[in-house]
Amino acid sequence: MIVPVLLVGLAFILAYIGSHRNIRTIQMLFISGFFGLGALMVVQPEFANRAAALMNVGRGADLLLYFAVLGGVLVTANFYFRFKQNEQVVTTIVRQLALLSPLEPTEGENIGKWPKS
Amino acid sequence: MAEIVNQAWVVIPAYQEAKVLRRVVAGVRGIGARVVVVDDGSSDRTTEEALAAGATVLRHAVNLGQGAALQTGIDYALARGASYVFTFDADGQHAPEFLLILEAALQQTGADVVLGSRTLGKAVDIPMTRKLLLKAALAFTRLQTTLPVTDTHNGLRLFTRNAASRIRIRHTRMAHASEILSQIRELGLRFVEAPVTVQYTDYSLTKGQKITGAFQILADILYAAWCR
Repeated sequence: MIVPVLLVGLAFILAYIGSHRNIRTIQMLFISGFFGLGALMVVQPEFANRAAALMNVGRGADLLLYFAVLGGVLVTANFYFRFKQNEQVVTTIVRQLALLSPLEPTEGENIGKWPKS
Repeated sequence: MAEIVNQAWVVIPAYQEAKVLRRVVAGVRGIGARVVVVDDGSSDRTTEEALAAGATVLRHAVNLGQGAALQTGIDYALARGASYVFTFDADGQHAPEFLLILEAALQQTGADVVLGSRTLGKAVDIPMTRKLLLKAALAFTRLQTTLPVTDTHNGLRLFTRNAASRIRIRHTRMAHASEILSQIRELGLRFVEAPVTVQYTDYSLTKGQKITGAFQILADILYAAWCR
């Protein structure tokens, strides 16, 4: 019962990622490959063990863990890059707002008080 | 003597500096310079203190970082027709008279940029840990920028209008100091260093860079290198 649930879950997430307009073809290919491997390991659990033996990493579970760590690092890096892009956008907006409304010091006895708008 | 100062704007980025800012701005205005303080999202009376001392104030709605505040101030100064732009720290580490030292250095050499150097001048009451951190930052910056500078992360600088227009600070936080040096090299700008004194106080040490900040700067520089 768990196998079809996992496969449907993988297909749903993949379709959701693919529905984003700004995703690049190379990214989609990479993600599809990653999900394809995941589906294969769900359908053929022995595949992970055989692949692990080929790569000299012991059990299939160990191989899955390594891939999970790698995936986690890539996702984190992706979020970091997105964050830096958004930071630039926020900086531009905040800067423009600041430049649009400079506060000028008032002269004489009013110096230091907030200027009238 | 003060020909440059009279045609310049002094950009002071400030975050939570209400305690000392009035004295700092008043000192800078005392030598005849126009001052723009960029209040980088402070929640204290930084803006009010700057206005009280006679500075123009630009307010960031949220805290962005010193690099972002500097670029905002430089944009404003250029829009107001500044022929020269100084940058100056808000925490009272610098005496305003050192603006005149930078001015003299520019007049004597015709450089595009003058950088304050505490190595050529003095660092008064600097703690050993800060000294070591600065040495490590200097070694890294020299390696990264290949510029033979003797100080990095010194807030005292003087740019000609041409230099200020061409340099674009994209690092919003503290990595901007290395970024400015990188752009000086890439744009082929002529620079000199001038000896300045940095006076460390208990207050300035609470505001300054921490060792953990060095890792943040490193991460920002690596990110920028990756994006090239």
